[in-house]
Amino acid sequence: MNIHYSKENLSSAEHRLQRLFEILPGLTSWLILLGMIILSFSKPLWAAILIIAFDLYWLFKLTYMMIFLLLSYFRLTTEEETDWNEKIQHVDDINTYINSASHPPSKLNLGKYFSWRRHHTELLTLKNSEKLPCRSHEIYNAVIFPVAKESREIIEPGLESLSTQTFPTQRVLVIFAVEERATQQIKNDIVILQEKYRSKFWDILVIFHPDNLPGEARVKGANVTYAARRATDYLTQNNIPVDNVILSCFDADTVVSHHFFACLTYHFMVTPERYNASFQPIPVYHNNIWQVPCFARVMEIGSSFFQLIEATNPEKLVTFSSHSMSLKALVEVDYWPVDMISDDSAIFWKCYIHFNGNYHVVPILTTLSMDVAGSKNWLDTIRTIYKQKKRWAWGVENFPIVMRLFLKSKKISLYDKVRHGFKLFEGHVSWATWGFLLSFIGWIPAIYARQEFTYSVVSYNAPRVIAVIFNLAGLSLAISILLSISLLPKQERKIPLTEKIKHALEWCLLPFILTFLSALPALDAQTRLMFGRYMEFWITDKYRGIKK
Amino acid sequence: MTQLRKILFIIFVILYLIVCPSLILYSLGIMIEPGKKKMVKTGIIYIASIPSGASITLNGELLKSETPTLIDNLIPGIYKLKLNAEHYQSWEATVFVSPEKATPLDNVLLLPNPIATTELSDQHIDQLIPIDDNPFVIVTTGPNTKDVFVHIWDESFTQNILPERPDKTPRLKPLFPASMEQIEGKVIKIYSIAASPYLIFEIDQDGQTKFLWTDPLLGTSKTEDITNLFPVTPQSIEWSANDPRHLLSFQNNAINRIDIATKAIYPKIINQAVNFTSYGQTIFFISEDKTLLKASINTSETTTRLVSANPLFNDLVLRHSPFSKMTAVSENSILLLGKDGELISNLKPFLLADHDIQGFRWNKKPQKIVLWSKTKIGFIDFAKNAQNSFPAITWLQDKGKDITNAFWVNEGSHIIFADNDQLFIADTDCCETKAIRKITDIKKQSGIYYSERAGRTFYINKDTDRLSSTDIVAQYAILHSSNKNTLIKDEEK
Repeated sequence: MNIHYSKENLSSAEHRLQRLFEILPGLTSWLILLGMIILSFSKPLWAAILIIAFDLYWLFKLTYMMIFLLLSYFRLTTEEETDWNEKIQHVDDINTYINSASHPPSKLNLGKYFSWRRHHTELLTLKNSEKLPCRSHEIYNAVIFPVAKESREIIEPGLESLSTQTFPTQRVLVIFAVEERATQQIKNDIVILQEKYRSKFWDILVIFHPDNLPGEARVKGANVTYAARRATDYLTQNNIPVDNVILSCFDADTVVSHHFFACLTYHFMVTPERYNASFQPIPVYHNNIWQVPCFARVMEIGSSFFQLIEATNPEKLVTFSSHSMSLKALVEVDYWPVDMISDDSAIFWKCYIHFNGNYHVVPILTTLSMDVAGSKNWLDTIRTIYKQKKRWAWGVENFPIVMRLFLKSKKISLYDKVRHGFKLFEGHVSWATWGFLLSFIGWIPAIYARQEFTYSVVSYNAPRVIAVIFNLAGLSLAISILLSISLLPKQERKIPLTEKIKHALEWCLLPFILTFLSALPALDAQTRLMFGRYMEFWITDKYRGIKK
Repeated sequence: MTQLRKILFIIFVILYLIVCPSLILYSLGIMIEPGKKKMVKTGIIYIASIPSGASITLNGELLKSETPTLIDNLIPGIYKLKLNAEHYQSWEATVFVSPEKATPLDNVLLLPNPIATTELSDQHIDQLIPIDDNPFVIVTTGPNTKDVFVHIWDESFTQNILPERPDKTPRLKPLFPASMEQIEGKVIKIYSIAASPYLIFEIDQDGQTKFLWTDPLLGTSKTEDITNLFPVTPQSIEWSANDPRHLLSFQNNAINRIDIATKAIYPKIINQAVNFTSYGQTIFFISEDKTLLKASINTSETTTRLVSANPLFNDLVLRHSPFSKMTAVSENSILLLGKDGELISNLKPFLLADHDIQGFRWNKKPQKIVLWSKTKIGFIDFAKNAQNSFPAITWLQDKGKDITNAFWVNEGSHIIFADNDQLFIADTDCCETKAIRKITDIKKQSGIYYSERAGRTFYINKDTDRLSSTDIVAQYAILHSSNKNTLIKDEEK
């Protein structure tokens, strides 16, 4: 299906529908928040009951998510030592591997056993699908780094990490997508990096994206699309078929683990519907994690946790931040939207609708690291994080476009439309409301209720019940703290106990973070969309402070 | 993983559908009545005592928890509650539990057993004169200036839990120095203001009226003759506790402002008044046309306006003026006691009592007033009855003999009052029937005082005529005795 994935150039009927769906998430969020506040004063009994039901739902969801967080974390750690090149060889020699007598590892080593079992199942599924990939030595990895304001200090570690891959770097094409409006210093730095690292890769392209091209907004999607088109031409000119290329779109500060491309290549090869799939690694924010204020640290660890949990549900997974996909699929859908801020999630929806629902995201169990949004001081860091979260929450701009196109699509099943539409909608509304409901609104009846409520059984029992719920939720918090310490960058693992305790105590900031640096920017973004005040793209400040 | 996800999802949904309604029903106090298998709406009792840690017996059954605690899942009906604590008198009450309602008993005061009395004077005392919200009482042994004594107590932490110092420090000090010229004068009147430590004595010395200003807390050296500031004997003198430098005196239908420090008199800042009182920088006065007005004072101007625009209230003022007593309880609220004992306020229901009221006392938070006649004592709770346009008096006692004074205890939860030769304490918060307990015997018509900060009542012992005190609310009663012993040892060191 050829789709116009944009809010621009719509017919009047489509525009009305677009506006309706743009208003819906923000309106729902505000209705929930204001409704609960009004109910707390006018009908405190009903409000107390709703709050108990909501808090219990939140506890159950938290517990449910914690189970999958632990499972996902377990999987991630078990795959840390995996030799992905060896697994790639198994795919190349799939018949030999399957037919040979392979002995599974002992079940006493659960991690290794499950890893083997997963690999074995994947190979069987691939073989049975009869959609075998090309040979691994024919596969190329292309990586786009968009650059606008980032200095060499930010970019070079990522490039360095690419040069030390276990995957043959001679089949890696690096593309710097540089905005024309970047400063001369930045442009010079990129050229220097090109010269320095060129010999380590198949090639490094530096593509300057002109400003103000017709039909484009000043968004990252326009920049990477421009660069990807030229990279595709370059690959074609060099007789490299697009079918054999995996394209990764990173952020300028992305640093990958040494086996990233081997892991990515393996998953590409072992996925039967590889041209109908994106590949999503787990983002972590370790580049400067110890150089930013504590609340920024907690914030970004929470984001990593969320992605870890999402990775356990590939049926509903959507691409986020740095991600990969086949170049073939990207070309077929005509690249990323050039007028949307949330290009990372938009490309998934574009592909999903284009392929009539036959598109999914494959979670790949490796991490890539980025910078925690930070600045020189606490106040600026709060501003920076707030803006970044608002930009992330602006992913709600996908909802109206997706819903409009769902209504048009005749080939996507109703079940899938409802399932995806609801998740998209519910995800954004809960993002904007839960922080407020849990931190403030839930306590209004107990504090401000009229006397008739004050002398009711509910006014005594409800706070006790809610306190028990929150205490039980504390268990999830404890697990999060332990996992966060385990997820810390390996080279900095040897941190003193006092630092670990201090890091654990930072999680006490969670109510503040949930409300003011998560829910509030989400509500801000939805409100802007509701009123048609579309956001300008703002590039997140990257700051590397002095390491203590 | 997908299968696991689906299975867990179904389990969690089922669990939620079971737990959520159960939790909501529990919160509402709805449960299945034991033995009857039907749903019943229960009530709860929340009980907290001073001191805490009292054992609770409910309908004869000893509960596991101690105060403060919540007793939930109570089938509606009547319950007999009893609290017991070591060294304290037991407390009993009958409580009615309503469905879906909480019965808060959060200020149960346990009286010590035995009630320890401390004698504070060697002298026989004639009268005790309470000076509200101060750490001292004035007592007299006779009619003259030399017969006026002061007892000051320490309201610091240690004083409340340590035994009295076993030294020979006199408990009573003469208020005025023996060498004072007016020492043989006869005390006519004492002017005092709640929370202000300063006193003004009007004395008759050899047929001449004198005015002495004194600060009991600073000792006998701080007494000043301020007679010159009153060329005419005033009907009343007031000042603000926050501004002791400026006095307001009322005479000849006018209010003068006096600066004690500079001895300056600002005459007739308000004219044509028949009554007045003040609160902070606000003066309330009844004008000659029997309108209640208020004015803000500053040195440059005085602006007046009506206290209330309500015609009912203003009509009451008109009909019952002049008043024997006016008391401002805030910058916007006032209480007026008429000559026939009618008590009027600008708070609804305006006419709080229509006759025989001899005294009243205001409690700031929560807003309550205790009022008494010779034989009756009761209170109005304005805060609890905020929804009610006309809160009524709850009478605690209507068969008194000679009720002379009352004080609020423990933030308005109890009232201590003197009736004839006995001291009582009444519970105003608990239960339908308000319990009244006797504390001790006192000298008839001699005056009492209760200090909220010290939790202590002062009175004249009926048998010995000595100034005595008894602790009613132990401020730090929750301290364990081991902590107390440590502090005693530190004090001894």
